[in-house]
Amino acid sequence: MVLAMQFGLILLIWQIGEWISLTFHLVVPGSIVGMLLLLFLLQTGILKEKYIRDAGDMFLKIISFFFIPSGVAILAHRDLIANIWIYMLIALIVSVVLVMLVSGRVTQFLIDVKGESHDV
Amino acid sequence: MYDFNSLVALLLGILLTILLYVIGLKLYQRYHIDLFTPNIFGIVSLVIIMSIFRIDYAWYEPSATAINFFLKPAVVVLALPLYRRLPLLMKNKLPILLGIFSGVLVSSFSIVFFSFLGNFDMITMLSLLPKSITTPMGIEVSQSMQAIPSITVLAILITGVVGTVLAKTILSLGNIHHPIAKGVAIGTSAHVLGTTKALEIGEVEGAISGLSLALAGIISVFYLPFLAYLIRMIYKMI
Repeated sequence: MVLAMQFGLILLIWQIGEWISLTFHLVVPGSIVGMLLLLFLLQTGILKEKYIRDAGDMFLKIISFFFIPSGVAILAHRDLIANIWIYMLIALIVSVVLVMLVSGRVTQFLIDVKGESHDV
Repeated sequence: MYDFNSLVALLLGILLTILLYVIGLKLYQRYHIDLFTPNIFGIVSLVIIMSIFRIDYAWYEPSATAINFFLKPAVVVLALPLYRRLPLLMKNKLPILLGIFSGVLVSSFSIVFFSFLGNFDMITMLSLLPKSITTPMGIEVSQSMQAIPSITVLAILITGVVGTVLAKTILSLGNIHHPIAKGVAIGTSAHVLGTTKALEIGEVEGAISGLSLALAGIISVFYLPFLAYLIRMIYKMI
């Protein structure tokens, strides 16, 4: 019962997000607006974490299940990448190396400049 | 509306997906192979099964639509882990945010560069742009850019796998040694898959990686549709 109400609350916040996104013609999808709204509600203390904790954690535990169909849908777009998949793979590999190097280097550099110790 | 056969197909498709996910989960729990996550297992085995039995994707589509319904509320719930990790940001705001921001820029620029180099068509390029962010957000951004979410998912999974495998080598090559810098590097580049690795390296690395993947996702969600708009304009001109 509690779980169902918490789940309902999540759906409600999502729907408000969709409504905001639609009404103001945002490029940001409604689900993301809902996420930012939920973050805002939690951060300001308007909504206590315990009111969505159980349903939220349950959702997060199985969240990767919901991506499966989106991945399988590649079957419908096979011909689009059939000829370029090897280039795509190389591009993705080089890109992830670059992103990791640059983001890590920038943070490392700024921490070194600040000269702070290892506390977090 | 649905006749009996398509209703059966709908339920079978959902049950098959759940079954493969659970098998993947059991395998993951038993053998602890990083990259053999339940959802990668689910996707790969479904693709293989459907290819072997020559099942048309149209058969699976209603089931996909049903499961996809939960993707959007799932994105909303991502606020929870972000809320829990947000205090980590406060002490090192600038290094963390600038690190993530530079990562998001490098990610998009490199994709645009390689797409031109490889002569990919525009829709493929757009679909590859969100490849470093977490899957549910990536699917959402891909949709809002009118790209192809399944290519995005594929790119995200490849990125996550490669990033996880290469993480330690890249970090030592780049002399990235502070736990916060390591966390930012892994989370920004290799999202959730990499974060599992970051957690293995250390607690701070893991937590910062989780924070970074969420923030990189949020930045991308605002930035990528704008970039996509520019790319479409350029393509129209040439």
